[in-house]
Amino acid sequence: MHCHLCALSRMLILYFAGLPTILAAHGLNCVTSLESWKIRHQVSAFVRTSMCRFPTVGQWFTPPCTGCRPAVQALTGIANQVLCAGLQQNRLPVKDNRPVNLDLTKFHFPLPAITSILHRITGVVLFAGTAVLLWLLSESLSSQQGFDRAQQWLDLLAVKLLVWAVLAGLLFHLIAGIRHLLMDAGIGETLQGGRNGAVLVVVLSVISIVLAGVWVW
Amino acid sequence: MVNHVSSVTSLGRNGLYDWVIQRFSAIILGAYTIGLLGWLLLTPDLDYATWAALFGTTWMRIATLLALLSLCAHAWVGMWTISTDYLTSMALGRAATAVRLLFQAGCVILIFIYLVWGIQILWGN
Repeated sequence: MHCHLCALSRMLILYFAGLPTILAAHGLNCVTSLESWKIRHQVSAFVRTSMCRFPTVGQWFTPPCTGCRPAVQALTGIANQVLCAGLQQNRLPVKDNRPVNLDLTKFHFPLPAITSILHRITGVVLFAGTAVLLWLLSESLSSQQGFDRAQQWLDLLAVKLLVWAVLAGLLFHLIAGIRHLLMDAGIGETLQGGRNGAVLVVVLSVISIVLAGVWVW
Repeated sequence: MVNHVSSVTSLGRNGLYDWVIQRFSAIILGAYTIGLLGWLLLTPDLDYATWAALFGTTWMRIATLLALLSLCAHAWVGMWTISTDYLTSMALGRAATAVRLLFQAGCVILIFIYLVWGIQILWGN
């Protein structure tokens, strides 16, 4: 049995390796043609199959499996050292006997916690990504030559990936943000509602991010 | 971690104002994003004339400026929240306040650049 972490990383690899392969098979400029129906069909089949690889162990995020554990421990080891160094420096004498457990591999992160932290991460990414969007807007609105230049930039794979990454962050942040507003309005506020909402956010985001990739190419 | 240095840099001076500013700007940004993405999806073969004409209209310039101002407020509340949650003395020790204020100063500079740049894009040409 694999853990959610393997499933997620496998999905990401499939996503980044698989999508270009599908697009390459159909040519890069067929998005607006009838061919795009075929691509959309393949992409949705592809999302279905990669989503099905997700293990369904209750509502909880599984702890890392034996394969992933060394990598997670190495990463959290660094995080722990940083956090504990700060703690030791600031520790008050009375707190000396309090147990400190910051081994993140021992925590179970429920899906709502993961969408919450992703909402924050995508927020920071978007704050930086705004520069890319403003640059494209500035180029494209400057003149006919600038518009052509922006299109030439967008023909480059690296720029396409960058714009797709910003779009992906935007779509996730938007969908998770709409869920936040709905929860502010009292919709889906229960424990089960929170879990269902988090699953819905992930599913809708993955679908729209894949479609955004199709659109960019 | 709410201490004096944290709360004095908050935009609305208290959490409730920040909460309202964040939600209000979120609605504007969401509407603008969905609108612009929808327009782009419905305009598959976009050329310069159509694109420039869209941003030449007064309502689009006002909507974009509103979205830009919302972005500035939204980004500030978000970055402030993140900096006061993670750049704490528990994580960074005694340097925390200095690091956090430096990070927040960087955010303010970037927000200011975005604002001036955005206005120049909209009204500069």
